[in-house]
Amino acid sequence: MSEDPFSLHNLELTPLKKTLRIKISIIFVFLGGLLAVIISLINLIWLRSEEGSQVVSLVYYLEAVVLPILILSLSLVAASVFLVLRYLKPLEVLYQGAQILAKGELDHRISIHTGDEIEFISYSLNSLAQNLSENLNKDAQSREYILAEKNKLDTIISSISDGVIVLDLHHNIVLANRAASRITGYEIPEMLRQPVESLITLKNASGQAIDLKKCFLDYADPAGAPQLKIITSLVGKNQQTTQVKATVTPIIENIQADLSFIMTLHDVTPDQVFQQMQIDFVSMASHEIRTPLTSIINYLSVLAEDSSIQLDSEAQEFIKRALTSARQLTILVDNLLNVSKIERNTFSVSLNPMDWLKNLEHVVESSRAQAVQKNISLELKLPSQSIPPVMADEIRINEVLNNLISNAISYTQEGGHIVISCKIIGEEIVTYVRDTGAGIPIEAIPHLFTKFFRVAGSLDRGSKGTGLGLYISKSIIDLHHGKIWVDSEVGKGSTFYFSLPLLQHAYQTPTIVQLNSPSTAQFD
Amino acid sequence: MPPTAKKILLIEDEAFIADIYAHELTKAGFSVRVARDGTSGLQILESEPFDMLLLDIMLPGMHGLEILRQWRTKSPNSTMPVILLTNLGQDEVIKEAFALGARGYLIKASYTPKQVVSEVTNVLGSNAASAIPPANEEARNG
Repeated sequence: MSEDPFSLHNLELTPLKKTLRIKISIIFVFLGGLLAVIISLINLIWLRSEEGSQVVSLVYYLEAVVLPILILSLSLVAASVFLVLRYLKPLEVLYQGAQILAKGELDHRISIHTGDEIEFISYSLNSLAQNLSENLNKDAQSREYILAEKNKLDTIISSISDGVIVLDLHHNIVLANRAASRITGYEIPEMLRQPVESLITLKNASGQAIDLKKCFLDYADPAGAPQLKIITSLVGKNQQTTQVKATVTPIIENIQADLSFIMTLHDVTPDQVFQQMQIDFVSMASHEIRTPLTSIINYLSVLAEDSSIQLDSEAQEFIKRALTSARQLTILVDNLLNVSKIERNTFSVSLNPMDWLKNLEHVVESSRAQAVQKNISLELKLPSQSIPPVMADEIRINEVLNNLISNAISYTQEGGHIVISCKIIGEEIVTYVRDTGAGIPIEAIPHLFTKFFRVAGSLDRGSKGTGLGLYISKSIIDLHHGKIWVDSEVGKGSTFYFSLPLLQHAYQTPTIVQLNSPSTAQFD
Repeated sequence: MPPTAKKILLIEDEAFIADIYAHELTKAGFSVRVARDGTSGLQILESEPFDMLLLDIMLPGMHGLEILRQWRTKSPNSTMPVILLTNLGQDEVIKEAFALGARGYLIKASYTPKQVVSEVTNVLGSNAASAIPPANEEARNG
């Protein structure tokens, strides 16, 4: 049975045995009777003395004395009843009203308008009820507000990405958030009410444990302790070690709240970028590969571009080839990363409205140098009609365009032609890259957009293709809700087409599209 | 008095890469200081003024984004341009870098040193005088 301090105790009122009304009526009747008897006696004595010793006739006595007195007495009784009705009724209203209020129905108001003390009492009772009910409402509101604020604070603290640990005056943990749990290795319930030194150790750079007590915990007045900021190894549950920047701050106004220090733990482990950014194995591996690759490209290109270094043409050609191979490696690493993302369903595009024609111009221009090197003409045929915005991810869709143009250049002989154009068909815009190259044999076409498939007959020595480009391009086009296909004839050339939705037929707001919902499976 | 060269701080832990960038930037007329780990890099950054920071991300001691974060907290009014020079290419990392006020984000493997120098020159201007008052120069020569 919980004691709710806010409810009114129901007063137990004993039922009245005799009401006031009856009591006063009895008094008046008694007084009336007494008066009748006294006056009768006085009269009798007076009559007796008047007429001498003559015996007064009973009838005469009854007529002359008793009857008027009786009438007088009855009138008195009637008067008393009338008085009770008038003056005591309000008291009854007051009594009933007080009963209702006592039961806890504080909305009840007693209505009395007699203009005397009883009305004043009723007014006081009404005021009392009003004040009490207002205070109760305020208390209920305060309680709700306090609860809401507490929930807000709990949510905020648990969402802070740094670990937060709060200690009481005995250095026991009274609060720890999720990040603290992750860093120390203990679950939050395991940490509460435990002395902090028993759970974690802070080690300095030489591996020695820092004496927490000496540093700050042993100050007589925690408010006098200095703020401690150290980069340290925090050793938690099962010797789990994390590099953290720990800040220990004394809490002022601590005695009342029984709080002494607040520790914040900021994870600074060098590979913490990976944890924070959720970079997975493949991304990490590709980063590791890029590091020595960067050195190779850097030194080779400096050698190639530095005019002060005298190299004969053969040496220059050697360096150029090494550079080309290194660059191919870079593209391969990028492609592997993309394919891995596609396979793990974490590859995504973010679609935004684009000026398609402007984009085509830009991409074609940037490929011109490559085409000119092989003496291939690169032509962009812009349609005469204006084209509404196209929903696309600019970076990704240009990867597709560059892939198609690059393939066209690879597979077309010197002096050949490449044409790029687009036109609106229905609700989509279809873009194509047409070359006069070697063409694709019919048996190869079904495998074109799969992984690692390369058509024999690439005309460049050291073909730049990795066999992944079309697979990635198809994945990108799929994410754009488009289609990609090819028309080709051996000896004549190939045309690669892809379609993209126009803005008026797509979602109006930028969307992020993923192949499937992201899977949490680790790459292995 | 010749104008002092612009001072660049390069925080990069890979020796080969740090050397070639420093070599090419110095050739282009900049004054380059190299830090090979995050913690000392941040210390140097906080103790001396620089005209530009070239920042790798994967560093021992303290990673690049953390250095940038600390720098922004310590010197929120600094207008020194910061260019990330890294091989990490994840969208989240790039977003975080720009959220922290980076001027540029270059993937090392995709840029030759010459291109890096050209990016730096675009941001800083070539051998124009450093924005840092040459107090030390005068003390040394005086």
